[in-house]
Amino acid sequence: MMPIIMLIISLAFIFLIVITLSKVLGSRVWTAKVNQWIVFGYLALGLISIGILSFSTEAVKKYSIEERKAMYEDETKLWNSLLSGQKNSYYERYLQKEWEIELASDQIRIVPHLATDIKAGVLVEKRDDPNSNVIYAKTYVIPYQYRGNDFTKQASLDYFKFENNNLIVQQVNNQEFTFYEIYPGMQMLDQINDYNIEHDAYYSFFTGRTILFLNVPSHVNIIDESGYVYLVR
Amino acid sequence: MMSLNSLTTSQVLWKQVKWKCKAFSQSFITLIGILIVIQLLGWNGSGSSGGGSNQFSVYIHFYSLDMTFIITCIWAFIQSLLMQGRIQQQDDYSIVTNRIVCNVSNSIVVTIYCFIATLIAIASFYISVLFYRLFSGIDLIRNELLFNPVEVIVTFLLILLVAASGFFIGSAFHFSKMFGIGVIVLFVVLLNLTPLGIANVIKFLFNGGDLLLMLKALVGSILIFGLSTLMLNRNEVTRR
Repeated sequence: MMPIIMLIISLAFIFLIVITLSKVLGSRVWTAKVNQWIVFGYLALGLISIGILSFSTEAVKKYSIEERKAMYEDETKLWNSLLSGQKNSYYERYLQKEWEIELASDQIRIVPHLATDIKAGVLVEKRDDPNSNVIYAKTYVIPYQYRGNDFTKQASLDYFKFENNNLIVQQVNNQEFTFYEIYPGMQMLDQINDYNIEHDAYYSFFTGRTILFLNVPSHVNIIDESGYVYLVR
Repeated sequence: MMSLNSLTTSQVLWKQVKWKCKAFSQSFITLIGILIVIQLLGWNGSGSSGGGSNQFSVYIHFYSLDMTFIITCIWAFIQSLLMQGRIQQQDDYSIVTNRIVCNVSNSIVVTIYCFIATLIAIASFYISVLFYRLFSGIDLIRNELLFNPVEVIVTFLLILLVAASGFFIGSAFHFSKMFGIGVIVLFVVLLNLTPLGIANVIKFLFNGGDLLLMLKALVGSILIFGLSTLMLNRNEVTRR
């Protein structure tokens, strides 16, 4: 309440000064020339603001509804492609991390840290390599989107940790993001056109899903206690 | 038209436009002042949305053009309404003219004013966002385009449409007070009687993508300006 009162007092004070100056100086103050310079100055200030904001704000990829439809199909294809074992270099763009797991024995346990629903899946492919106990792992992350905004960079989506011959599928802490977005248009037009509803309609069940692809020597025994292993082949 | 100098219509039109542009320029200061006060009070037209899934919750607060657009529309409506008022029309006699030239020049001035007002509204938006950024220390995100030229054109044409409506009502009142009241009453009655409902009428006017919206606004504005000019052209005698 106090800041508003202060603001009103300040504005009243400015208003009083302007009125007094206008009365004293008469029509010499509000000439067309002065008005013109005030408008130009204000527009120049706007331009400077755009310049500063373009450097000081973070750009987030915004997908159109058409792009989201395509991505929705693409994500489904990626999931099916990994499940069916097809190799498709196109999907390598979803690759986030490539890492190796060195096993101390011929056995690996995959355990959940907490038994809750985690948006992750493990796919296992066996290879003939009797002399090695190394598992080649690839972490794929399907971009995390909300209403077409890509927040993959901000979200922590790594659910997998290797410790003492155990691959832990861990629950990531609840993540709450608050963003302040500059929207260079009118929200009400989007509402009239139902763009927001359309954006909500294209909610992908795969968004933010993390897929761990493991290339395991065939002699290594996998004990799945997690329920997150979708396929072993 | 009586004058010692022989001037073509386009010359008179140009003279009038130049003169009127300067004569009513103080209205921009009013607009800037109102926009500054609105932004200072925090009525910046921001909205928010929230949602998410599983362990993710996303809240997005938007800083959008909505509030500056609404204020500018109100300003444009009043400005163009006053432009067609009897008192302002008497200023037209400063330059020897006829009614068509006077109304066409008014339409051009309203169009120019709407364009400048659009730029002022957009400048206000970015200045206020920068101030929020500097004083509240919030981290802002944006899409690839910080400044969208298409949105600028859409905003301009919608402000122009509102200004054209004000221009038409001003012309109607200039024609006859009863006619002006009649136009408003007819508009309200038609809007209420339409079987589609007001919401659907608004939806019909504004939906269909940016290009269609621009086209609707442009054609609508030209029609309304034309209608106003035609209407006042039939008003032969000014009674005092």
